[in-house]
Amino acid sequence: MTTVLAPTSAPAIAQESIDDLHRRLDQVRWPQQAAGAAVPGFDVQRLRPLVQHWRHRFDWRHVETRLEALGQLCTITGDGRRLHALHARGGERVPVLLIHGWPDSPLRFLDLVPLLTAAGHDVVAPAIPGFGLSQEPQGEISRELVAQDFHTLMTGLGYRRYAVHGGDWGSAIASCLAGLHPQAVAALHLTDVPFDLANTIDEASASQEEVAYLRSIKTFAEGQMYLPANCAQPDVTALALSDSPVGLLAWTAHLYDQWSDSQIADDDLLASVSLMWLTGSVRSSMRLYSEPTSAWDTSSWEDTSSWEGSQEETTSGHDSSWGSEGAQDEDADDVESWGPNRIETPTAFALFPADLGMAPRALADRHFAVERFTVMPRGGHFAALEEPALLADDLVAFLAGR
Amino acid sequence: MGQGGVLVEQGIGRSCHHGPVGEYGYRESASPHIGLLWWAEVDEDADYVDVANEFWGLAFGVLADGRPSATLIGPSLAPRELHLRAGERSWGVELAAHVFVRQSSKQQLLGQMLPLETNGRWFELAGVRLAVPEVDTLEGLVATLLRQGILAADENMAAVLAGQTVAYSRRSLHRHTVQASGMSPKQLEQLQRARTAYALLQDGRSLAAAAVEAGFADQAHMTRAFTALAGSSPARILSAGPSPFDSRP
Repeated sequence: MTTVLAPTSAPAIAQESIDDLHRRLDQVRWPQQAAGAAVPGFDVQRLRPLVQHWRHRFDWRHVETRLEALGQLCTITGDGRRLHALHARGGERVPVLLIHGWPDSPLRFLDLVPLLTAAGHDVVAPAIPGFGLSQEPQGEISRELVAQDFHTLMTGLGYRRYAVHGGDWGSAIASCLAGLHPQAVAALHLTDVPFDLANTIDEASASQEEVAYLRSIKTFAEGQMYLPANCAQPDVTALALSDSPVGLLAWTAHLYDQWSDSQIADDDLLASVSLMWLTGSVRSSMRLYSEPTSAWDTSSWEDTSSWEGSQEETTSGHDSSWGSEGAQDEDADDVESWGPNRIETPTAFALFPADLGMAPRALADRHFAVERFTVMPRGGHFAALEEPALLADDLVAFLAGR
Repeated sequence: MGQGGVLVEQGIGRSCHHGPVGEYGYRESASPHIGLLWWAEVDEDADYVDVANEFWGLAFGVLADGRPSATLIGPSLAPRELHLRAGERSWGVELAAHVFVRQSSKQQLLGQMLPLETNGRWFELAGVRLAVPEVDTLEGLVATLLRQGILAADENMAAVLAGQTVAYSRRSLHRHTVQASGMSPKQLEQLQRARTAYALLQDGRSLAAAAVEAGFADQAHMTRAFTALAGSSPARILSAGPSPFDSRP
């Protein structure tokens, strides 16, 4: 059954890297903060005890032990890159590929994997190329490249048909994978409607809730540092974050806090930051935000003249939002003429309220064959860490009989 | 003290009745989309008549035999008889009058109590699975339903209901109101008027004075409206047990 090309064990992190991290933590330079200075945004004072914990109590080797206990492997891609994945056996149910996002790694799934294997699913959770122990490509990266890597990995492991779960970039890559290999992907289970699909909403004709969602995503994007940093200044950003572990911790911690319902456990946050630091993958993990360059050329999206004129102007925005199902159908045609192809794979969404946005089902229906759409009562962006049982129950129930 | 031996504890936007058949309480919400949050526990079998009203609602509960229930409650132009069974527990939300369920035909749901699929932990509404809320998480549920477009708030309707003038002709106001709520402006006004009159009667006004102050042409009009909307005349409602108006402020 296992015919992965050249599977090897995962390399351990060199002790000198950990020693170097500790030296840098000992020499942290805290910013000067006047007592009366306003503190909009994240207060780095939260980090002082966390840095102490990282330096003196957090144990990276314990994380490695957990990974080893769950099961992991490394393989080499056709172009010679190492690809790292958790791989745990569960049984005869449909195998599940778990795809993480930024700024984290397969460590997101440490608590989820045992719940899925206990329910009878084999689980594979690879690191996206450029994250953790998965090496980045020397040429351009794209979600298609990542999807292809993961499909090759799955078939190499003997899984010709599998389900895919993902969130954040994982959700976008999972969708891409279902589009590339519809015969292999039995089902999709996503914790968000890929966020870039908000851009397919046409304010002039979309439903009230879709317009509200689009505006919430725009407001979100305007308030974020990481988006212009990752998209437009990745080298400058990576230089600062690659030279200061506490800087990287602050950068990551403020996003973990912002996108979670409860506070993610310190050890989970530190494991995630440690992996990025110790593998030197700050810059490489940002690449999907600016590559492939063709996908981020939005000028092609702005030329809407060909279809905008076909929409009848409604005299009152309020009237048009009421019970006018017909308008939505016309809209769907418009999207298909220029947007991404609709994914026909049976798809479930499990949305968590503290995530960075919550798409309405109407948007999901345009792009996916939605069979199940759940709004969870609690949890956020890193739901697999925050609410592993809620997530596992939903995923296992959706995959029953597939 | 309320009517018929029902004890009423009146707080700010909060009330709890310990009646002979059980407990019923409600509180108002800071959300402009919510009329009130309510909860009830039934000790003895009883029937209760609820006055006709323009509000949409969601109710959750555990029936006497332990089965869970979830119900979408449509507005109603006639009084509704609720059959309460000993051992039942229920809670829910009554929405503000300008908040509607989007994907239903308003006219068809008038007066309806639509059972929703539920297993006690989850329920499903308009294709979305949601966690069955507690009283304290109902506000979050309403916010989610608005974000999903299952509920919609109509700001023009809110303005009309608040007595503000809107840039509508009489005819388009009628059409808009019926389309949004399933009721005509006149019907909405009648429902509000009956509640106002009941509150004035509770305050000690005479039947004639309450009728005029609430906006009825005269006492006879008020009596007819009460009979149609609450199932009984004002005088009988005031002298009998639990009133059809007790379930909301």
